[in-house]
This record gives sequence, structure tokens and C-alpha cells, in this order.
Amino acid sequence: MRAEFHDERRGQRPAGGGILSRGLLFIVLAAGWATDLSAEETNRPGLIGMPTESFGRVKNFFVPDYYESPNQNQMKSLLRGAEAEPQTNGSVLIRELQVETYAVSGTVEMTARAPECVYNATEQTANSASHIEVRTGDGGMLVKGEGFLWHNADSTFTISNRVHTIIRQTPAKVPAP
Amino acid sequence: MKKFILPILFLAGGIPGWSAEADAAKEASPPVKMESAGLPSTNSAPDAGTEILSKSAYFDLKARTAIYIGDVRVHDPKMELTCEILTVQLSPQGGGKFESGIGETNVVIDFVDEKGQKIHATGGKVIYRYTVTPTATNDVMELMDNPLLHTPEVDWSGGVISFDRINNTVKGDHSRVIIRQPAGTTNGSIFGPAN
Repeated sequence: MRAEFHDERRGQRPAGGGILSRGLLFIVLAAGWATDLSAEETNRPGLIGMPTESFGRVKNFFVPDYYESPNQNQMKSLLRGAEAEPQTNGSVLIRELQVETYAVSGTVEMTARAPECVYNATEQTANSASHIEVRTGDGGMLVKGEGFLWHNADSTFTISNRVHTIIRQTPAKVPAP
Repeated sequence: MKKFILPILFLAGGIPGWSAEADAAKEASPPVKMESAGLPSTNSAPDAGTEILSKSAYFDLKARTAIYIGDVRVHDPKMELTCEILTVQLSPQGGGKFESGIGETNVVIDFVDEKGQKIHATGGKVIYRYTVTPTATNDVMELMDNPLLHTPEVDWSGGVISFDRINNTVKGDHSRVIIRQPAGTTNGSIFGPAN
């Protein structure tokens, strides 16, 4: 199985390799492939897809998604997790989730963190009853709450309870480092 | 100047010293020009944090829209706002700026103006718009659905009460205006020096 990892250059597609889409991650997990991909073990951050003896789980993974042509080399989003575990209904339980979205320019648009969520690749949704924290890339807006539903296809999300938004004026968009 | 922490900051900084006589009841009134000490310019808001609390919220990142639903409370250094639904349109410029906002159902706004006067406004709906075109900049808030704006000196009620932040004017469309004469004054000129 081909191993791929995210280039350290933010938002750039690694040269010479395809991408492992979220759908593929789902397939990998659903198929029950042994995929303990601990970055500590491999010493290569974000390595995806190397089978090991741990059955059905992925650790310390990340999954990039890229824009369509002509911006196919620009990352659209990057999903990270400490652990992904396939569920019986075909979805995936992700622990210590972090999602970053990028503009075509490479600027970080948004970062979302949650202790855990259930990702459904078919519906491209993620939901959880846990805490969520969302921060805009420019630092102008921070949203926290309890319980959420994220629709990846149309880039919408709902926070169900105790929504707390903090808004601070910032001078301008902060470009990605 | 910063554009705006929150659309409804329209009122922040106060509405002291309307300089013209207030047009009264049941007719669309001409815009009332405010003195320089009136509404702050769009860029005068301090860079302090604004909090929005609600029971739930919906965010559309593509449309850059946020909808806060249920017991919405806005805490800002210059104002307090409560309503049941608050829809804000985020500026494509980012930086915590808004283009427009709509507060709906049981809207209550409290703030203190630059003179330290407490201003209390209520209504069924408040709409804020901030638009920039090659020829004009609009920065307007409209309070409607049985609106009431209460100051120590003037009460506006009914119709649609519009605040133009660029031109520092208040316009009542089918609104009633009641001017109170402060105790101890004899000429009733609470809006400025008597001519």
C-alpha cells in the first residue's frame, strides 16, 4: 500500500503523490485494514496508510483535501485526528479532531477543534455531542459551543447548545505562514 | 477606523444632542441632523471584544452568514443587545467585521452615549446595513415593528426609526417623537442652544 504524507509547506500538494481523500480514508477504515500509523513510530508526521498490527484504527493521521483544477495543488482542508476508529454503521469515530480550511490563496480560513466526532464519509458530515471550538484564520472570531453538526459539502455547521462567540477586530487578513 | 464590531453598534456612542426640532407624529419626518457630538463615526468604535451568546447557532461559511437562535445576548463595551434571532453577514474582508445584521423578536438595546446618558431601544426587528460603493458609503440601522427609542430627552416610537451613521441623522418614518423638557429649563431647547 502506498504511503503518503502531507508536505510541510502549508497548503501545497506533495509532489509525486496522489491524495488520500476523506472518502478513501473512510474506505480504508471501513475495510478494517490494519493501520496503526503513529507518527512517533514512523517518525514521519502524518503518514497515512501503512498497515501495522493494530486492527482497524488509525492514529495521528491527517487527511488533506485539495481544490479542483486549476488549483489542484492548493489544499482546501486538512483534517487531523489523534485516532480514527471505524464504527459498525460505516462511519468513523475520530478523537481529538482538528480541521483547517484554506482559501485558494493558501490563507487559513478556519480552524475547528473537538475532542471527538463521528464522521460519515457518505454524507460528508461530522457530528458530536462534545465541545467544539472554531476560530477564524484571521483571529477575528472565536466560536465555542456544545454539540455540533458539520456539513462538509456545503460548508455549513450548526452548534446546538451554549454558543459563545467572541469577536475581536483585527487589522487585516493574516496570511498563512 | 474600524468598521464595526457589531452591526448594531450603530447606537454605540450615543445619540446625544439632536440639533433640529423633532418632527412629530404620524408623518414621515425629514432626517434629523445630529450635532458633531452625536453618533460616532463608523471608525470610532474601540477595539474591544464583543461577545454573542445564544442557545444555538448556524454558520454558512460559503455565504459568510451566521445565525444565532434563542436567547441571543450581545455584550459589547458600549452596548447590550438581546433578541431571539440574530443574523449577521460577515464581511469578506474578514477581521471580525460585518456587512449587515438583523435582530428579530423582542429586540432590546441598551447603551450609554458619549454624554453618559442611558439610551434604551426596543422593537420587533432591527436591521443594520453597511455598504460601500464607488460613489457612496451607507451605514444605516433601522428599528421597526413597534420600535421605541427612549433617551432622557426624547422618545421616538412607532413606524421605522432610522439611524444614518455616516450623516449622523435620525429619521422617523411614521414615528411619534416626544420631547421632554428637562427640569429647570425654561426654553425647552434640549437639543442645543436656542436660536
